[in-house]
Amino acid sequence: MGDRDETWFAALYRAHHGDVLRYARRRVPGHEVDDVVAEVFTTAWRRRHEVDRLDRLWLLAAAHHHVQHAARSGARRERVTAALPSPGVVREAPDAVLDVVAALTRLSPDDRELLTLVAWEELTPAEAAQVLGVPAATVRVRLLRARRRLAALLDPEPQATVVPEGTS
Amino acid sequence: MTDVLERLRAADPVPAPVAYDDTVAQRNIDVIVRTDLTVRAAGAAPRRRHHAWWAAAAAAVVVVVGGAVVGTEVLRDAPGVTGPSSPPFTPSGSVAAVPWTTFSGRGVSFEYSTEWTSRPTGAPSTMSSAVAYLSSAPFPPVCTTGTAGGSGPSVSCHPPEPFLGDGGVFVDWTDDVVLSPQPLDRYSGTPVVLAGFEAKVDKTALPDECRPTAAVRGVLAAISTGKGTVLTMTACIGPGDVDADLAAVDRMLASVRIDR
Repeated sequence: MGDRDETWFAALYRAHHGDVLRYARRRVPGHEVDDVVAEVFTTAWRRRHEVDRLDRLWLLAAAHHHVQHAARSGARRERVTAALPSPGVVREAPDAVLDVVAALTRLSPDDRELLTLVAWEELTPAEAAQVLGVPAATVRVRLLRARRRLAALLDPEPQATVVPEGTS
Repeated sequence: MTDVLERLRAADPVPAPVAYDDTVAQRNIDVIVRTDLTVRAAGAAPRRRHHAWWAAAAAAVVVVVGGAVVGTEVLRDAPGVTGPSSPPFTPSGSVAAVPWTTFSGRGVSFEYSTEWTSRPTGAPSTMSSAVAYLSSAPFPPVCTTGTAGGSGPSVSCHPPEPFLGDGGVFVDWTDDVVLSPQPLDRYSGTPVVLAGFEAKVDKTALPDECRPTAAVRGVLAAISTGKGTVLTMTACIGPGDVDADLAAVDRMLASVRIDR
């Protein structure tokens, strides 16, 4: 693992602090963002000699775990989605954004997390699988289904496809 | 469906990179590194020490107050620090007349009914470490194998949550990393003192962890053991003699001893 000293940690922090901060800002209320970031990097420092590959994905996995844990602990269960922009908060946003936000909040937490990891954190399905701790094949299936569910919420009555005569 | 992800990207609440202040970053790095070194030193010294986890302004702030990181020995030697106004935990109900045995590991010991079996725990994850799993029902397989894209086989493991539809109990003792000024604020429940430590016990909520077990009741206990660690006990109780199972969980909680 090399010398994981303060210099190494400073480089890790500077390289990925923004990623972890954005992850947290997208998912927890503003006053809890700094707690998430601090806990993720504190854990990274404390476990620097235990973890073989301590990189952006590990940090995002730690952030994911922390946010999930906060949700499980009961009192804050409802707050986890609080950071999602609500229609009231983004009323200046285009209608299309409001539609997506409304649909996103109606998805299950698992669907929402997977879709946002891919769309907002710009992870590949294999990377999202690492963050979530599940097999990549499972993530691909879940992602397909989640996209379908989001699409159904965004367009509940899609137009029937018109197939011109003679083309089938 | 093809544009769903694009539409989602357009709704990103934090679309632009976050402004970076290197002075603030360096201060936070120093706080994390120095405080951890100080905490380790404090843990080895059986005397009262408080450490200021202090804040940095702007976008990245670390705010952790000394009370959250007082060494374990300090907490045991000074009960007033642990829970000055919280009553000791009092078990309720009567327990079935069956033999009890003792679990001991990872600095934790407690008694549990011989009607339950324990299961070894896996390796620690990033933010938590399982201490013990107990259940009156058979444990299911916990790990599945798959193929991570291009990087060979992968193994995914989950807590061994049994199905309690026919009654019974599943108990999960876990160490969680919680670094904040008031770590127990993250947990619901009634403040009590358990094993000499400040704690909370919640018997009203059904923890999410219990949902796969088809439990009808749950008990969540969180014990702030210092050093940024909270020992949690989640008990899922299936249908059947719920009161007796709750009493057994209470007795187990009342017997917990922490030696770290």
